[in-house]
Amino acid sequence: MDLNTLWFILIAVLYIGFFVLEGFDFGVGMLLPFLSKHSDSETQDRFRRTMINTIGPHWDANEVWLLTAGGATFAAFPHWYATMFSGFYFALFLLLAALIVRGVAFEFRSKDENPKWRKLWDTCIFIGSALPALLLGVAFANLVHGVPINAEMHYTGTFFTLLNPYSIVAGLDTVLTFALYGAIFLALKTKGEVMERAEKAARRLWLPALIVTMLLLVMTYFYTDILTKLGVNPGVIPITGVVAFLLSYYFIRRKQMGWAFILVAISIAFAFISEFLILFPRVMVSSLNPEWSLTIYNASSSPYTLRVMTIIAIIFVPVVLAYQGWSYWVFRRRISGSPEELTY
Amino acid sequence: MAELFDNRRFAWRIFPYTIALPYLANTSGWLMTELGRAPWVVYGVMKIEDAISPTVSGGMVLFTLIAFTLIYASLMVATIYLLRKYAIAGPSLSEPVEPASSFDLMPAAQPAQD
Repeated sequence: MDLNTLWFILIAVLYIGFFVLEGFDFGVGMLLPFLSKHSDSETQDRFRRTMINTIGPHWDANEVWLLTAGGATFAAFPHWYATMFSGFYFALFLLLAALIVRGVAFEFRSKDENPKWRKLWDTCIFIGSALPALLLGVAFANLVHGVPINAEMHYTGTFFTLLNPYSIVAGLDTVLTFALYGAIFLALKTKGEVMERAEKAARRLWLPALIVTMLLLVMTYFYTDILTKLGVNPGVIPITGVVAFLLSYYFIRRKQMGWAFILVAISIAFAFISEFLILFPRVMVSSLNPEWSLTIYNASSSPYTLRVMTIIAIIFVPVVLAYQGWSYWVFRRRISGSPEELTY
Repeated sequence: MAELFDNRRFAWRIFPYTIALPYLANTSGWLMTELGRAPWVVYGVMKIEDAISPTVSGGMVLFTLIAFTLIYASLMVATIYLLRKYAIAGPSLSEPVEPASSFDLMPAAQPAQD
């Protein structure tokens, strides 16, 4: 295996790690206004704080996976980075703006009692979670769907070129699946009424998420070259992803949320692995001419750069994985929602 | 100078304004690096005009520049509001410095009894 392939795999791992981790905290953010509804505003606020506290110690570390993936893309495949970040300029601006206000909102919302202040930041958390989930679904669908890229590797479309039927369904799918994933995470990390509401939300969200996922799967056969890349039978990975998702419902119904969480995590990971399998060895498909697609060879940096980065990655990736795993271990308890344990 | 700062009232009046100094220093440093490097983006390797995205219009760049400035300006207003609020409230002496956390994995180390 050459270093170009290794870095394709590493970047895929980083993006998949990001979706598997940040997926549920986007979900919690999206569910914030819905699962906290209560006639008593104090109780509603306590529910919201309980929900935010489940992801409080984790969301920023989860988000680092996206930054690292972006950074690795820049260093290993600068032409991919240049074409994508210039081509998807406005979409990535929206993504960045949403992530900025979201991050601040988690820290600021409980620092002042004023209901208007809290409502403002809660809105930021909701938009900052739903919009990135949608945009990332749209963006990743477009990589494999194909966007107009000319012979000079320049994106020649507009922002609206990115909004095609396939990418919109993919965006809806990431939103719904992450909402489901977030509901399962909440059911796993809370107690009492918030837990019951999260369990109910998971039961309700599963079917819509399944329908959109199936629609996306069917559309993948029409809008991408999955047939030439993977074949009519797409192979064990996409099928495992679907089976894991189907099985998750059994555990959601039985309120065995640990298993449900693992299965939905697997289905998200395997869906994105499938996408990267269709893409490989391309990184962005050109809809104008297959010859103009960006690949791991025509978009890569020099062999020297790849070699240095490989050494750095071998040293630091295990360190990062270890401390992040540890943070989940430290904060593994459920949150009951009593005021003294609410930090956020 | 030392006598001036012995006068606590004087020092306390001055200190809040010095909060701005690290920000000023940081920002000036960035301006210095970024402007001082012109006309290069990578010194001696790549000029600014060669680094411009051919597919992103000037209008688009201006739009996002203004939008990000507005976002950060609003965040600055919110930050100053909170800093002011907490400064006026003063330190709450009744609360422990380390917030007790009921989901701590390990109990806090007990001070040695002797």
